[in-house]
Amino acid sequence: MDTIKNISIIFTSIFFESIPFLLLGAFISSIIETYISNETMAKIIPRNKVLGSFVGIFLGFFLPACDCAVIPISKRLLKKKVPINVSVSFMLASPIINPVVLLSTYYAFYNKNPEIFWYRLLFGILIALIIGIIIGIIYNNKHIIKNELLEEDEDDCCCECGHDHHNHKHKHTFKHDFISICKHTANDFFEVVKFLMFGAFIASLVQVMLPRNVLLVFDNNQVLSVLVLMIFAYLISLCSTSDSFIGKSLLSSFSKGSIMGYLLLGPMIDVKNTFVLLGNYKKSFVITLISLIFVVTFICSLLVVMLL
Amino acid sequence: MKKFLAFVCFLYASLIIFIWLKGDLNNYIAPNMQIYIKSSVFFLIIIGIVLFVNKINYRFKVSDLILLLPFILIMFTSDGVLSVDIAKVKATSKSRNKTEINEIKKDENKQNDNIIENTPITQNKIEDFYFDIEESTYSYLADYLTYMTGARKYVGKTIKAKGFAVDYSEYLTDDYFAFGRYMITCCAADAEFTGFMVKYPSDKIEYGKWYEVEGYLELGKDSEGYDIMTINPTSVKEVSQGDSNNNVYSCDSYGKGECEKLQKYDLEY
Repeated sequence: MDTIKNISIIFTSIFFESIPFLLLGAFISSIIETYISNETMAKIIPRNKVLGSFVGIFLGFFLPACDCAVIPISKRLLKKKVPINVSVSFMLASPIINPVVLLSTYYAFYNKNPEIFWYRLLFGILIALIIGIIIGIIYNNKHIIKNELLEEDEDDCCCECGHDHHNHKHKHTFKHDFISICKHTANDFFEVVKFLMFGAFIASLVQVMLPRNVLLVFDNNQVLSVLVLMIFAYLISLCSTSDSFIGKSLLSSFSKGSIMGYLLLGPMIDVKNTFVLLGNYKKSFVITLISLIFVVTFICSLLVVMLL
Repeated sequence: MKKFLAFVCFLYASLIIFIWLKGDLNNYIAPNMQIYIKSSVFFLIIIGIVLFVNKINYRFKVSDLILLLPFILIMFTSDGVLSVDIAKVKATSKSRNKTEINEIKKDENKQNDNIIENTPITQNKIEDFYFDIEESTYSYLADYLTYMTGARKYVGKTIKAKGFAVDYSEYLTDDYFAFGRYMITCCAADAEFTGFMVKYPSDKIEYGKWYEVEGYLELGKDSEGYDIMTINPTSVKEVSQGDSNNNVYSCDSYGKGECEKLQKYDLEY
């Protein structure tokens, strides 16, 4: 009975913790939908893949939230015809380089291991850049988004005009905009929450059922221990604002390179986000993205093993 | 079923309010995060009202029933306090047999004598220092005294702390037991056990019960052979949990003000 209780508590805590960030992400996404036209977006975002990815990373710095919040926004950016490399770089960089996460990493490591703070920041940016560019090349102009939960058809556009918001000259009153924002927020929120439930449940099971000392099975092997901690980060699905403190507690048992694998991979992808991505994007895209995150993070972590 | 999503919004808001009014929110979310979840109630209600009174193009699918999962699971959480078993699951030390642990720990006494002998008393400004660990500083102080090498200067000083005993028999010899609390930074999912090893026969304590331990700080070895501060007790009392929570929060969860309290212990944050 204690096991079921622990699973329920951990699940509920993940759910509670995610709600405000999901609402924030969904709200920002709906603001983008309501007030920024595709044309404006096209003017702002550079088409050059490297430059575009840097813009995505730069935008990521300003969203003080963890990984759940970025998915609705990055999806909305894609719908606004923002190049996929920008959207992906934003999605991967934001949970690592936003000020809240940087501050928690600073508190956890800076006194004794400042290099971990700097490597997390630098490699976080590098991985987001590399994967953004690769995805941009593979999925250029391909449709990767699944259908909406609240369908917008001719009869029920959010502003009740039946068109895309920026392709006409209607006067949008406060009431129309408010309702539109609420509907879009609800749509993006539930599209993520629905799949987050599966992921949060599996993460809770793993937290309660998997004894952590099994991670030490390869602790003498630098390469395999990097992989083990990456898988650990993927399975336990911690919020990126608190994973540094768990990482710190693992320092006595693992090398800094392994810890880096854990700190880099967890915010970019975990079991909870995998379900959310699968619910919102096409399967082939999700598999490619996750594989790339694992491979590039693994290589970067091995670099850290060699450097430290 | 058209109004299902509005209904879910209201249910989520009610669930948060219920836990909040019950006073159990601290078990799930760290104090600094609670303002966000409390604010969410307002936004969920607004969104719920908009979805309820306006026409939306939503088609209910059976799979959408997954949105009700939190209501099913909340029934199993009772008071929302993580059980003591989790501490064992989250331990990241290798299980060893008692002979191996004894081998690692055999030089402990010699090590403590050396530290006390070599600590120049004139430079020690915290002579007769006494740590009475408060709730708000528990996690940081326990972590600091246990793991930081700088804490060695406190060997021989007095400490009093309160927490629950956990089953670390795979990592400790029979003449030690571990006790402490769960430290939360963000939410219960990141709860980590933080506490002390106490030089006291483990067969005299009961796992899960609360104890107040008073004694002297010593330097010991953990099962990996790393130096670790331990308590050599002058008294081990079984106490009621009282108002204390199983959870304590990291300084970051409390905010800078609480962390500044650590200065009175002559510790840096």
